[in-house]
Amino acid sequence: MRYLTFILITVVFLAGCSKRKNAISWTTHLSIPISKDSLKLDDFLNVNNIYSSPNHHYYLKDTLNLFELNQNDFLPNLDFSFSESLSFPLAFSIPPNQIAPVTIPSNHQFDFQDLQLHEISFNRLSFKYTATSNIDGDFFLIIHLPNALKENGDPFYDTIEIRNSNGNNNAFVDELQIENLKLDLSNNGSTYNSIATTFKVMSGEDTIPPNFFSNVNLNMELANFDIAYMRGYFGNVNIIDEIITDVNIMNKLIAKSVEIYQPEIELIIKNGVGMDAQLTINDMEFNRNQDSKNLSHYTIGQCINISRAQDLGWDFNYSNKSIDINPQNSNINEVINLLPTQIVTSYHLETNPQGNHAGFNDFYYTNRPLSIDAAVTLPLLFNVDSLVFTDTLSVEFPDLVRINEANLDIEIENAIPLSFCFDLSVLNGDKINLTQPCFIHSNLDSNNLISTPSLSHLTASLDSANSSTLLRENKIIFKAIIYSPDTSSYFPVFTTSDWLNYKLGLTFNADINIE
Amino acid sequence: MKIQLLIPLILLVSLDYCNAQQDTSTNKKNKIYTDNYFNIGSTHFPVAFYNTFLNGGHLTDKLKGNLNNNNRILRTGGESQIKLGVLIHSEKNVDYFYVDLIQLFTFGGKYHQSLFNFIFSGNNDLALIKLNNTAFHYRNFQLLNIGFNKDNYSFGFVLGNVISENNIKFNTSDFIEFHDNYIWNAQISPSLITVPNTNNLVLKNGQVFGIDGKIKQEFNQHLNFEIGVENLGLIHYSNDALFTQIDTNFTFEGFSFDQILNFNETIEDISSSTIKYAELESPINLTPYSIWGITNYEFKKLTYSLSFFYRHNSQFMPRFNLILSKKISSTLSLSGNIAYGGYTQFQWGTKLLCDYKKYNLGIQIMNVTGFLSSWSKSFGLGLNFNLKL
Repeated sequence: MRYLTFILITVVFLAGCSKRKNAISWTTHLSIPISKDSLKLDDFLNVNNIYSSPNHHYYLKDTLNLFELNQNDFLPNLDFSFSESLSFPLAFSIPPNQIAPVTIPSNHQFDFQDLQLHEISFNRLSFKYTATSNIDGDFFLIIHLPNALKENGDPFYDTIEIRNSNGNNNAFVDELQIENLKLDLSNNGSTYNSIATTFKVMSGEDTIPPNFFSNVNLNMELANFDIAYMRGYFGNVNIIDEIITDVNIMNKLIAKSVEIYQPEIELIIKNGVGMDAQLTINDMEFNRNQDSKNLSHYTIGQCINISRAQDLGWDFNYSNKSIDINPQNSNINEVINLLPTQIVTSYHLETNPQGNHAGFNDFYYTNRPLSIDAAVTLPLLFNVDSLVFTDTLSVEFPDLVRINEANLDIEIENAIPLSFCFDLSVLNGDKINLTQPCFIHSNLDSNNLISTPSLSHLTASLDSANSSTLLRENKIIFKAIIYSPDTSSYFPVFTTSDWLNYKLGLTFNADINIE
Repeated sequence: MKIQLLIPLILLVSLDYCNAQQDTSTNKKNKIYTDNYFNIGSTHFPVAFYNTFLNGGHLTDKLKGNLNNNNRILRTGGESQIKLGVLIHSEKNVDYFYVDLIQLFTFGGKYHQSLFNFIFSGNNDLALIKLNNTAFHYRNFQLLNIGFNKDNYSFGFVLGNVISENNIKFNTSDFIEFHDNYIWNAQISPSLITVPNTNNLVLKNGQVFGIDGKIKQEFNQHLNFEIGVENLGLIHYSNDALFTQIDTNFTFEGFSFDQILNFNETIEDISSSTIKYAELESPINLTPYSIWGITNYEFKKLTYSLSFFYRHNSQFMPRFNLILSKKISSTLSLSGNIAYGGYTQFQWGTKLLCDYKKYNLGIQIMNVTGFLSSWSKSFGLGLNFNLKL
């Protein structure tokens, strides 16, 4: 019994060392600085897109790609697949590892509709081939393209192995991978879309027996390719299509009115293809929800001639053409006021309207397409009335902290000629209470320039119900409503002298949980 | 089973075997013994706070204790010892040789109320956290003591391993200051020692070399005095033990706009740029030795004792103990004591000693009120057992 008592005591002590199974928690009331900074306009906008104009106003210039004309858009499908039935009259047996003294030439002409190619370079080209033969044993078929050069300038040879151990005309399937190949499809300028080939047979480890009727049937099916360059005549093609361009940032903005002083859109047509074209923009429709505005401009419906790019060998010149759209020649103000979320551009493009006048010298580099960009110039001299920016912010809380109630205090010094009001809610739509939800614009002088900053203090209070929604959903719906000091004047914003200082502190009542 | 229920049960079972016997301490016999204890305490929160930490649950305001001790240094800590020893009688130059194996685990902290409040209550009503005189430790040692007793003194050597150890000690000028909820000023420059455990059973990252000793002085047959030191020596640390000095002085006003946008990168930058680390080389340190003393006065059937105990570098407040013992039968002695110090304040303890033939059993409750865990601020149990061979 004595020993039992001693063991019992030891067990009791050790039992106290078992790992804790439940979390420890306690309630705390913390006050934490969250953020402090001095913000200028270039903290929000890409400084590389902001320029100074001669009249000392700044403007934002950004470029939106409307579309790129790629190979598939104006050229037919290029299929270089071909089949061959090759007869090798072998009068003598071919000892192991010897090439039979028979060469079978062949020529393959491809039909690419209007496209007449003289030259093509591939970054990568692969064929899936199927071969059958009555030659017994493993042997090799040597393929040579007399008009093809590899990257280093060597002629192209490739060898495919045909394993026909039973001589039973079994189909042998494999893939041929070729990289960096330059092909002359004109046979030295005499034709187009043509590939010349020669084939030879080489024995493997076995002797190929003599047979006047030895044959190989080869089916080369194009698997995929990556074109680097093409030259020839690209044909006269008419493309009528429409392009839809989404302006996603605008989904977060709505406004009663946005007036910008002298906005501009420059349509930049940049042609990197060695091919003439005529472009007609039939319509540019700017949409937002059910509302739409059609751009009114003299070029709409008019044919625009686009010259070909010039490849001089030592230099490359794009053909550039630009069209200015401004308040004087269009209804751009109405378009901007709509804050469009989508642009639908319908167009008609005709390639080589004058036919093959360059004599098979149209060219195309994959990385130099024909593109149309819209360069948007927005002077930072504007008037906005109730411009609303809405976003859903992710708010991640560490598992350690479960906030019950919180107050977010913000002190703001505003030296920008804009007033901001905020509206915050949790994901179920319940509002987060804001005392003094707005901070007003800076004080302005008679020229609408900033004289002194305004000072505001905002508090956002998160009650326990909103807290638990926020902890569950981890999202806040954030809405900022922006106003100019009045609704009639243009107010300039300067990237360097206009600023906004803020301090943000959080006080909260939370449960700390440690597992 | 709740430990509170188990203790009386053990006492009952143990006492059942205790009978009268003469004192055999002069019998010159060999002896094996074990001396074990554990205690936890705090100067300001109840034992139930520890219970919640061990078992989980919510730390209520009541468990956090009084939060208004603004100008006081507070302490929290505990110790646990398992000791197995053998005493071998010698006929030659000494009376006995002894060999002890000790597993000693201690943890403790010394801090201002403001730091405790910041962690467990928040800084809403706090303007300043004082960090001067603030230190924490956690230590796990294995020790082998070999020595001898002769007449009124004993002497021995201590060899041991530091299984693991963590120490943090703040500088006298350290503080964190809060200005409304927009600015924190901080001066934080603690020194840290981190000694990780190794997978090797024998070779650890710290080796202990020390001495034990005690002297007893008998003034007359009623009055004596005894004083001793344990584990006084040096610790040699390996290269895997980290000695770090942090020197950080910053004003935190929140993150910048860019830092908030790239918050993950910000967190990485903070640890690398704001906190300045310097690794120090200090392979040798003084051991966390303990010194103790006791004076006993016997009068009639009562013994009056006054003792003290102090453990170095452990945030331990010297503990003084006033003890009254009475032999209540030929086999049983009962003592009660009032103690002040250590990791808590006042404690009312009791100890029962039982001699039976070759056996000697002692059970100590370091604070009788410790069973009221939501009220009392310390709890401790001791158990020693001797077997004369």
